[in-house]
Amino acid sequence: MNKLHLKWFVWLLGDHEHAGALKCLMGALFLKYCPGHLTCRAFERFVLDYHEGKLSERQRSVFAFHMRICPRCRVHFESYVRAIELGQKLFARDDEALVPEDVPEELIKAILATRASP
Amino acid sequence: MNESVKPIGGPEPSARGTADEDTMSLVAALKRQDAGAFESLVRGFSPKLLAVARRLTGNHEDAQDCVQEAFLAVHRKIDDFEERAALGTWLHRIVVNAAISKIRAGQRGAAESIEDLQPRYDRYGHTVGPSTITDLSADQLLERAETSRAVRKAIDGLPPTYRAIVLLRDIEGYDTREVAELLGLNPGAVKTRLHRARTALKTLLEPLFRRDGA
Repeated sequence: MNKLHLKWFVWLLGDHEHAGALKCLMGALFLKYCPGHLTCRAFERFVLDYHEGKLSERQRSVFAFHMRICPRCRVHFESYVRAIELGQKLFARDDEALVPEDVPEELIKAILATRASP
Repeated sequence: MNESVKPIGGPEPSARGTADEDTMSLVAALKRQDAGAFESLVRGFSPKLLAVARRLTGNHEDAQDCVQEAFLAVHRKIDDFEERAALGTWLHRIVVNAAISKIRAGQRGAAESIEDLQPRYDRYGHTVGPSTITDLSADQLLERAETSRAVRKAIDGLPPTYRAIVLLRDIEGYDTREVAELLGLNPGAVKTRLHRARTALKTLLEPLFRRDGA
């Protein structure tokens, strides 16, 4: 498949009114002639393992190929990763901003009193 | 405060790091029942532990209870603590366990469904959703005040077990096996719930990822 074919192919599966029907037809052809092809539902089952680097090389390439031909699954995966990053970075910032004054003095006194009690 | 014990200005760089010399001398002083060492421990580790407990419980009062329980456990069990282990790791785990007990107690009868936030498919079985995403990185998105609010709200809005799994895996850095042990689940269930929780967060945060920033 040369670059022009690939461009047409990506357009056929792109974001237009007939995309759903075309993708369905292409999906059926893929399943018949390319058994390694993923459907969107199957793609979803591999998202976690792909993100954590736990897929085999072949599985990774099938997953990546699906993202290339399906913009919604690509955006779904990128949003999934972005959501994880946002949580991690937000809480990392919180930790950096922590100062001892954040802990109420009453709590410190209560803990120290607990130790002092028999 | 006992002069032989160096006050610690804060927890180890990573609360899950390894023991250093200061921490070892602190542990030795704690084993001698040194009141100054105990105060130093409480003041040094409380901010980090309180933050961990707040994240997990989503509640200030419960978080304070967890931290109090953790230090009480240290006081009672310090003789069993091996000095070569990391004190921060030990404390962290005690707080996480206390927080999980609170979560379990609070979730009895609570709905656990996040089904509405999972991916949707059209009649051909293809993913339904946006086909573009903003070019802004997570750091750039966090420069907007509404992003921080939305992320906190989304995480707090997850059912308790899902929130705990996301926080333990993605924020506190535990692996799947450790999370499974802490929550009394099998690793497969943790993986499934982690993925569903992350997907729910992604759905809740999707408006932030629109190209127009709307």
